[in-house]
Amino acid sequence: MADDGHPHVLHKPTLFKVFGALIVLTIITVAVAYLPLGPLAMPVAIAVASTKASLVVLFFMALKDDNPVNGLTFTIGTIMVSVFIAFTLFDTAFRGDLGNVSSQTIEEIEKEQEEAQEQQIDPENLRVAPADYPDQQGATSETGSEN
Amino acid sequence: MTGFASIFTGINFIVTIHKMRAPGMTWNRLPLFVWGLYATSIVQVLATPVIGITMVLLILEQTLQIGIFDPALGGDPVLFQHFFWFYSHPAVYIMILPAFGILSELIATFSRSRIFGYRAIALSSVAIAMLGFLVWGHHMFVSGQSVISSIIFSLITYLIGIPSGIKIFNWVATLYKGSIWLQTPMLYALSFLFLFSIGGFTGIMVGVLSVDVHLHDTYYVVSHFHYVMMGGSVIALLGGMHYWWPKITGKMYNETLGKIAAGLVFIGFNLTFFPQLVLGAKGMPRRYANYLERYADLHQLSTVGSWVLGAGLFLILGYALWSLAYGEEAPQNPWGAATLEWTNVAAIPSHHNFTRTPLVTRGPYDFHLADEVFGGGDGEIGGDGKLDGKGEVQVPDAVPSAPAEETA
Amino acid sequence: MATDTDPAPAPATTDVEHDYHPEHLQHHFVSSEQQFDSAKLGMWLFLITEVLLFSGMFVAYAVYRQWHPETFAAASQTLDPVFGTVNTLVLLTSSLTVALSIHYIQHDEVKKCVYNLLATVGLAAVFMGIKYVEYMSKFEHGVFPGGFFDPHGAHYEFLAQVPYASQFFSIYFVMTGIHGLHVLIGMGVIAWVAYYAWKGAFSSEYYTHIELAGLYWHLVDIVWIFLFPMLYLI
Repeated sequence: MADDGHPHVLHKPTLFKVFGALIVLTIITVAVAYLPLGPLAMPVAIAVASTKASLVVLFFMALKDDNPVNGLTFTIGTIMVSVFIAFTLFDTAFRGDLGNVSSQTIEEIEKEQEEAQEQQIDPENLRVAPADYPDQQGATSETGSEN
Repeated sequence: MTGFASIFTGINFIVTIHKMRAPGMTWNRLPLFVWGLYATSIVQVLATPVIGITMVLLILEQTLQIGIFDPALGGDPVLFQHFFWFYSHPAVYIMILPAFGILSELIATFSRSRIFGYRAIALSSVAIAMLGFLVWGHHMFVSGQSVISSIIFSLITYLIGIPSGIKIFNWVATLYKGSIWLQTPMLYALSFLFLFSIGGFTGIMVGVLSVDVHLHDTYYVVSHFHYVMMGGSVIALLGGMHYWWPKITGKMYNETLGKIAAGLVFIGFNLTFFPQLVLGAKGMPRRYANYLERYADLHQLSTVGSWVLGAGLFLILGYALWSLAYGEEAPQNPWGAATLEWTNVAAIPSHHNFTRTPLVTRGPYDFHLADEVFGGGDGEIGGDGKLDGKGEVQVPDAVPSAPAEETA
Repeated sequence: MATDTDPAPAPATTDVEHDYHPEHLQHHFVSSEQQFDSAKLGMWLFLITEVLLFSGMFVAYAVYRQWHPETFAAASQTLDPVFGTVNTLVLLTSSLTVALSIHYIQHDEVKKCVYNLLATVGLAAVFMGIKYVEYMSKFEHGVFPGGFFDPHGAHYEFLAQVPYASQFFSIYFVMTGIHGLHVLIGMGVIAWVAYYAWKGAFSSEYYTHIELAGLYWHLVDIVWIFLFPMLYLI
């Protein structure tokens, strides 16, 4: 073939080989989904998908023989994606880790508050300000200020 | 979508810098302003798409109630903050990195010495662009994000101080033993060094996790932000505007008024924002229209400062407009600068900037080489740096160009 | 500019290029190769903006999956992996055809190139057709994104009891929807490129448009490679 000379020319047999590999990997990813891998399911699926993506990038998109700056560009892009995901997960996966923030969602907190609202409370317990004690005006104002 | 313009500008700059440099223009001969823009473009390309998808999700949140961000729908508002700051923190570097580039040009040209640590300055811009993506969570210390991520973000935030410090030290080292020529652009450059250092140090302070919990949403943060953005970006921008004003408009501005305005801006700026640092440390929260009696003095001082600052800025506007109409014709290279836009381009650039593509044989700050090649030997651009501002600069024979018609 | 006698834009060092000036070469480039490389770098930069655009949705997916794993496991049961697998194979094949079209244009076989481009558009249409059937089968049972989530019918009723199930479908519809939009745009671009290739605009000397459309299409394929296992399988 006239492939030599121009570095970017795509080699037909290689394309078909890569395509075959992609099909096999697709079958693998479907197959492993039915295995009881538990917590490993996600990493395995992502690993297979990453392999497939790398094949597409390296051979179909010909990054393997391309100008290195294009490869660098793509690498930086993918690094940024992993940074975005990892750093956000540092937060969301560890919310409330040291006990100073609630791990409850706002919805749950609101629900709790609503339930508390619905409880009947003795009006005696709701008196906080001096004005709440009209019967003791003046004489015992310090009772109110304590609260 | 919102960010397309920004993204395509970034792509355009990066490709141009990578692929379309003039012959002989190696990476080590790029003016540092170009390096600054290069780093800026990287940030634009990487950060802007994220604000794009954030906008899309927000619109869908409003129309379809998809419940990603809204707690009433089971979403998480802090997740929105992550999305927002992943763009918006790098976005402040979009504002400051070109300013760093401008400053390198000003410092080198007006101290007439080769920039100290060229590579360090160039690469620290790129380092800031990259590190800028790892610190967005320092805006969220009190948002309810997990403590572990606060600690990580705080730690990485300190790292930003390293490349910024590298730049400041290199600029100061460039000044050392240079023949400093105090024209208006240089006054702005020196203001920048002072103000940005304050901005940087206060930045380290608010980057400290425990300190920030107290200073969050106070005037301290407001002041820090203005020291970096106004004292940094805007001051450098004003310096750059004066520096390139002759090239952009073909007219000279009034040097005396320029110096007065630079002084007013510097004094007014500090008068406005330094009291705010103190106010913030004393607990004055931001975003309030009113304040307690005990903050009154500093608030009034700050207000007076803003008048001085405003007077300086209006003065600039005034003499800039005046120079457009009545200004003196600018010579080709009033500053004796060594970068190509001064040495190889006519006083008023032609349609294609360069009449023919220059062959670059020296660095952007090789003033002695520029002087030799471009005929500075007649004493106009001597090592003493005493340019009279009207010195006619010769151009090499290879570049037939316009200055002839000025005398004609 | 009165003294300007030599308006030649190219420097003396590239006089060899100067004699040969193909019509596709724009005046601000020195050589075809520089123009091609510039376009390609620009495309790669654009592709990483696309990657980062999708990254926002992947972050949302990761966060909500980590918070509500049982919901995601239960809700993804309602997605048919057969449709997903077929669509994956369709897209992979379309990636192959687009790669082949570049291979053929590099060997000046314009006709084969156009056929492969058209095959790509056809496969993309199949993909969108299957997507349409899938979406409709969800909408029939009230499985809408977000606030309109109201599942009913035999296979979907239980979703009403699953907390945060609407989040899963919000993410599903947003991710596949924006991906689908990219497929539609890709179909348009490739059809447009195929039209010009048919008219003989491209050759082994100059095929930048096909190359760039191909890069874009591969990226769309890559996004689906990740979406498929994440949404359908686990």
